[in-house]
Amino acid sequence: MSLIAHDIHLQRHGKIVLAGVSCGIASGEVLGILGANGAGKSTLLALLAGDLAPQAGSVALDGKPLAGVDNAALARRRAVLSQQLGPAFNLSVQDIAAMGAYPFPELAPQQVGQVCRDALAMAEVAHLAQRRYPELSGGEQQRVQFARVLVQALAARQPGEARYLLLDEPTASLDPRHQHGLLALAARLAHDAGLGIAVVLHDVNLAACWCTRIALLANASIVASGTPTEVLQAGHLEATYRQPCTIHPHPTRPGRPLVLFA
Amino acid sequence: MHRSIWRFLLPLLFLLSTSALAEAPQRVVVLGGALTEIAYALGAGDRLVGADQSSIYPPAAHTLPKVGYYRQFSVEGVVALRPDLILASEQAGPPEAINQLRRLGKRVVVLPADASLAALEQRIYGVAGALQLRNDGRALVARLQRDVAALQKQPASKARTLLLIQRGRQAEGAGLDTAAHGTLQLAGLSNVLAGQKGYKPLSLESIAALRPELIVTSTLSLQAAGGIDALLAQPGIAQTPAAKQRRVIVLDDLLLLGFGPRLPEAIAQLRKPLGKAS
Amino acid sequence: MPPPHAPETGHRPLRVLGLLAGLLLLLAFLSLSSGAVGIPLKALLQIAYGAIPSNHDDAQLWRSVLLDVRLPRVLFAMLAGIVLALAGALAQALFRNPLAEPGLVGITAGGALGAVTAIVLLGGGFLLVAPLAFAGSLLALAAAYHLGRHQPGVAGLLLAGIAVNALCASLIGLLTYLADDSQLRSITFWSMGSLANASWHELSLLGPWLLVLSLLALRYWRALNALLLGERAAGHLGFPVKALRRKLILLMALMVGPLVAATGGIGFVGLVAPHLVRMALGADHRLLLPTAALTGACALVAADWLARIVVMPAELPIGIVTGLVGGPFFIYLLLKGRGA
Repeated sequence: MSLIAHDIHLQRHGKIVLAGVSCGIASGEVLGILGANGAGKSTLLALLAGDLAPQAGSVALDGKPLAGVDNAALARRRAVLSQQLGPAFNLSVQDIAAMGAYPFPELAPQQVGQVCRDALAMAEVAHLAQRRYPELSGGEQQRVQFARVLVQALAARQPGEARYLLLDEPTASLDPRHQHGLLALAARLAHDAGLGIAVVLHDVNLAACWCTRIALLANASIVASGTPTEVLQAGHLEATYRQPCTIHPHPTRPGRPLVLFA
Repeated sequence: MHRSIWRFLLPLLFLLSTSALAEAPQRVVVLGGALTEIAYALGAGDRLVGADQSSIYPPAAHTLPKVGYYRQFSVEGVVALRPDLILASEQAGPPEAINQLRRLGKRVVVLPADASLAALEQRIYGVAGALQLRNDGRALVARLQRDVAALQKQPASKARTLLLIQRGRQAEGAGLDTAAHGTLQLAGLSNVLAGQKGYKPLSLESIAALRPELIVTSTLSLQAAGGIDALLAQPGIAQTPAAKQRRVIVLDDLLLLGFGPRLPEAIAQLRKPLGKAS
Repeated sequence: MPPPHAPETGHRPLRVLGLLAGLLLLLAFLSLSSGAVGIPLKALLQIAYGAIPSNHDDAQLWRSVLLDVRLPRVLFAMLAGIVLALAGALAQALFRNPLAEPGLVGITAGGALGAVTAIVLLGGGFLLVAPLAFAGSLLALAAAYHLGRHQPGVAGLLLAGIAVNALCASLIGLLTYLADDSQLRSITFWSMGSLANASWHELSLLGPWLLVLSLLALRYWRALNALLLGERAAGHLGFPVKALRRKLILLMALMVGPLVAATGGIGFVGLVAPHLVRMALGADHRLLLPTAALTGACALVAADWLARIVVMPAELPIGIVTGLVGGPFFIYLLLKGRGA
């Protein structure tokens, strides 16, 4: 059970964005996608989400090519949190969270209410449920959107069905406490609920702390892929970010590396 | 004794009055200023109980209740006046409103709106017939024909004429297919804008090139233009022979544009020998 | 200032809908009971209950005026208000812009061009004007849609809409130039909008069509909410965005086209009604769509009522009333919104 991109080639506006990239997520793991600005991280995520079709190569959901799965069926299996969201329309936080349940029209209103309450609580925005979305701060809005995709990932799950969660820089406007809170939650959901999660991140140490695997993207291809310790090595990172760095053992999280850019 | 006579006489009187009512309509609403003018010309002004906003002649028509402009009149406004006859120009509408009046059991007589002598005669016959004034109608048409024929026997000046109408800021010239053009022709004047159709904004340059010898305009247009001096001072117009010799004829709007029973009067004024305007 | 929140959100929507429905009935009653022909209240009620007030000479007149002139007109005003407000709400969600309206994609201008063509080149008449107006709406929309297809998202459609609108406006200008005096008058009245054509016949032709499409529009509330998040996010929620966009635009055209054909251009209702509801109650389309529909119906019934009684026994074109009342009101809303 997996969402796998195999040997992807993609050109946009005459520029090679991805060349021979293979990358996938399995149920129960959190894959961190790292890379410099413009390395193709968001493009890779969009391919996994089915927004883009590769010019060569394939993306498959549980072995089935993504191109053959229709939108409605796909929405029941994977949820996506994009970077750019529409302008803040006058909706309540509750309304926005409930949108996560739109792919599941079979749910009764009470069931939707329950899933929403759980998701809002997990995203630490339960206290905002009755507020209007445009009144919230940027960070609060991001957590509300996160709650919405949690609803989509968790509503009406069938036994034995794997769900995937694709997050594009979900921590961009969060404070450190909420950055860690959000990724800790992602790790817990992968472990407990068997979600397969891919998350695009800029903060290397955030990925080091919470991801089970990391893929490092540079120059349209994958520089390194594996566990945080395997990937986060000075050579790989300097090749990716062109910035000297040193690797240390994490002082409080045994087995995880800590990266210091100098 | 007396009471029994009255008991016999009253229903009789009532019967007479209602039969008279059935013969000649007594509560008439007119949709179209030209028709209103005809109704007054036939001496039936006292039978009108309402008219549309284009009914501005004779002055008595101003006091009639107005039911909106005839192209967009109010059905209920007409019905509320309890008419037993509605005289409508063929341009009155919308069509659905005319249908609605008929469905409400109202008698609607629709008359042609063309700007031609033949259509004017038909209008007069139609109005007269509907008002049970056939003889007066025939007399009016005969007088009209006689007057127009007499006027046309007089030598025509064939002066090159610019017919200028101004409603807003921009002056417009009348071309073919306008009531004004029809009146000009009957008056034996030659319309310099016969090459265009309808009312079009004036191209001042082409006016100068067309060199009209006479300018005909309406009272309201002259007001909108800011008076005769302002009009003649406009570039393009100022250079024309008409402007240089101040040959301008100003007619009342409905007289010039209405194509109504006062047509001979309009023709007579337009046929006056060309002289300097006062 | 945040809008006030009722502690229990579940009952609020129903209360608002009930309130609006009550207001609509009240306005309809006011409109039915006033007009150039004075009908006593007692007779009005008797007629409403199917009885003919027999003790008066004018009874038959009252009955005809009430049932054949005023009633179809009030019903048509309701229907037009519902359709305009719903189409406005669809456009605002589709273009993710609270100031959008169906006219943006050329529907109204195309309709006007069709109507003006019929008036100037083909001699006019309702039987020609209405079908040509409808054809014009669809044609302008199709043109805008195909021109805009090559740009991603709604931006291309919007730009193509602007181009089509400009072209239609110029062609209308050209035809206006060609028109004679009487045609000009017809064009003016058509473009200001009017419900004077409302009759049982027209209602029976358009009523079922517009009602069915309106009910259909209500069913799109989920998709419209999702579109507020952006087209990509809507796609992620399982909506086939391209097909959805096509369907919504077609729905708008099929609703507004026949209406424009029948009534001419009635402005502001489609813009203001959904906007107002969104400001007061939020953008959740499950509530927004029916509430905006009722608000639009109230607005048009009230506007038609005003149009009929202000200059009695004449009447104003309804587009002038909606513009005169709606315009300043909208400016007030914008200024208030800016201050907040």
